[in-house]
Amino acid sequence: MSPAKRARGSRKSIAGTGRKHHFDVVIVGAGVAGAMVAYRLAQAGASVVMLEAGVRNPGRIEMAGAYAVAKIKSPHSAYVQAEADKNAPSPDGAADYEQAFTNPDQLYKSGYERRTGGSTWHWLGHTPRMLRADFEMRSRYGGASDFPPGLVNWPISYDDLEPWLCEAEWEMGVAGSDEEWQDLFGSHRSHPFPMSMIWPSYSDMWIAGKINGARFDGFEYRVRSTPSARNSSLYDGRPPCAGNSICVPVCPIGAKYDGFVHVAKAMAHHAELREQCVVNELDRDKDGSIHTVHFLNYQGEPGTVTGDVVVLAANAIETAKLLLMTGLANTSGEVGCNLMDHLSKSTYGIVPEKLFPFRGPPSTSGIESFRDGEFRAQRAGYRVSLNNDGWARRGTPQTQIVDLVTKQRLIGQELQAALFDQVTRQIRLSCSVEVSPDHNNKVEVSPDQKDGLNIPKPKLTFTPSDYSFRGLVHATHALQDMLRLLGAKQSDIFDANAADPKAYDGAGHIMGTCRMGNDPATSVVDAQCRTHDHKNMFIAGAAVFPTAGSPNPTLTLAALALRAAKDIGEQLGFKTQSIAMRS
Amino acid sequence: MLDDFMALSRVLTGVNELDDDLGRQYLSRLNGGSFQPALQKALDQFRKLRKGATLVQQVKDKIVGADDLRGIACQIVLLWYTSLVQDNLDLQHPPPSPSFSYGTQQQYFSGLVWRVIGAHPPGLSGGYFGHWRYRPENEPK
Repeated sequence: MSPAKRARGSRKSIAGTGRKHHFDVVIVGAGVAGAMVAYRLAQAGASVVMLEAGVRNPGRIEMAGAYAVAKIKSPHSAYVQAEADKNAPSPDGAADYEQAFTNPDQLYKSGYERRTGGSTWHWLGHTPRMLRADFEMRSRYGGASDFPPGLVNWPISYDDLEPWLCEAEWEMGVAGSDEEWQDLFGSHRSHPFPMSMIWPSYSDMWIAGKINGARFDGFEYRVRSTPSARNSSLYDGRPPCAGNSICVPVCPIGAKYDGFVHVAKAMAHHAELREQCVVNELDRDKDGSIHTVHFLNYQGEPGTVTGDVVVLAANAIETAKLLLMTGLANTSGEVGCNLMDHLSKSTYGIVPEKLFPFRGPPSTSGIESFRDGEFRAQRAGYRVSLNNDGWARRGTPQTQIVDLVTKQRLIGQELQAALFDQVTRQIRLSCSVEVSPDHNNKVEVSPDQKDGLNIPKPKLTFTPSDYSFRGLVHATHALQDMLRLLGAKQSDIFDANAADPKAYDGAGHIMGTCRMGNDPATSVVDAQCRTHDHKNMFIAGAAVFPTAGSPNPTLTLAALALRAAKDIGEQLGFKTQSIAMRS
Repeated sequence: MLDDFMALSRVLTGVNELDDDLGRQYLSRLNGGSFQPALQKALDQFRKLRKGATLVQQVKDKIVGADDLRGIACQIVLLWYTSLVQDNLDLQHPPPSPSFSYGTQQQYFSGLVWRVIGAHPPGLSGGYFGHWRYRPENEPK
């Protein structure tokens, strides 16, 4: 309870239930963003409740087993649960959304997990930082008439966020190479990574030996280990990675960070977690503040809690949907707009050397050379990932076995030799391309589709810009160039969508819809993630990103959440604690 | 029937140490529905072959080489290697998108293909931190 409220003695309970009704902070969503805010504020002494639409997971071994026998190996395959999927559905890809489109190939393709701990259960764990330039896109590269109008400056700089990026790295437990990542494109690091890097794979090192120093279109290839929230040593009571290779959808041993780590830490500081609570309404007081949060449980029974501060942390799609349903925080008209992802694409090759894929984390290294430069005045930047999963996404090894037996009629030792020779030389390179924000790419409330609780589902519109497609085409050419440098014959290089240079996959990086800015007329939240319209309501998560850059978003959203927790604490009279940085 | 199925499986997979219990499970998965006639015919054919040094070649010629038995031979290999069966395997008219079905968790984690390629079943590495940096310890010779 905040000191002010404590003085007024306002704490209440629901009659007969013994459950507290009023909290200092009500948090909607117990994913990584909500959990970090809950942890920091509960640790500071605030009373906190997390309202989570989903359910808690069974044990990791059960989830790995569910994945093992799932017919479709999608991110959601380890999390199928009939009641939750009915009442708080978790979209698993483009087909699970209602979408408005003009081109059926250009859709929103990334899903999310409504579950205690959120989508970090099935993330890859990669935590590259945004670059200094990513916060200053308009002032650095704007000016040309075809520069996307949505590519704005953030209201904060890299330097403003840098200490919080360090905090997030220490909270999550990030393994990385200080040498490789210091001052990348002028983006300094003030503290070392908490753990030494995840070791590069045998394949990564062979590739580095072949392409480091070579150039494509003026850009120098340099393979770097990818920072990851995955333990390289015992950290925070969790074991080092054993290379089980199924980070997506679930780490069987908890070596990879997920949001439940901080849900548990918050609960250890007496934060309350209420699961199966699907928030459907927020009341606006006469003074414009938001204190009352309504929800339905899976039986459709209503419930209510109140808070001095309300934090929406339900991911960029669900947070925007809730605000649009309630008509709140939208004086700017920007709620739901500027929906982003990264455009992902894979290119496959067979190289002369055996690289032994299907071992270790699915990706351990990447190439950052294409992320920034003057070219961003004309086209998007991107990251490149080197992957350790062979051609699993093309159906290896099963399709290979069928071909070898039925077409080449190989069995026994001959079959083994052929599989060994072919599969061990498979490689997949992929890219993750910046999507420029666009007012017309948006989340709306579906007028027709409802979930099991009769709550509207989201309706999406998403068409990437030519700016992003130009980046995608450049990336595709770079990936093919790399495979040629690695010795792959042209006939052994496969682009799954060669016929359509604009074909892309989703990256699972849901961003935008409640953008941060200084001007209430053009943004939803201020630089502290506080909604312009309601001074006691905050938004935590990637919803507040004004632009996306090209890195995986979780580290940045975690840093913003920790930073917001400090401001919320100050607003309520609590002093949050930072991690004592070790030098 | 199990003995014949195991013997044929050893030839098709090239692995001599196959687990009888798994074999019983795989036989059960194939010995019903649409796979049963072809399985029966393949086992009948296998019983007619002369056991000895040329058995592998005889299986290649008489079973894998037979248009009506090649599919079931492939399913037997798929099961042992990956725990999968292909639901829509059609050698005359290959489907644009193959559809596979898994069995049990035990079957999934017992797939033989992973050791054939020097890897491990996804989700069960049994390895130490960083083992992926080196050539696999179980690299086939």
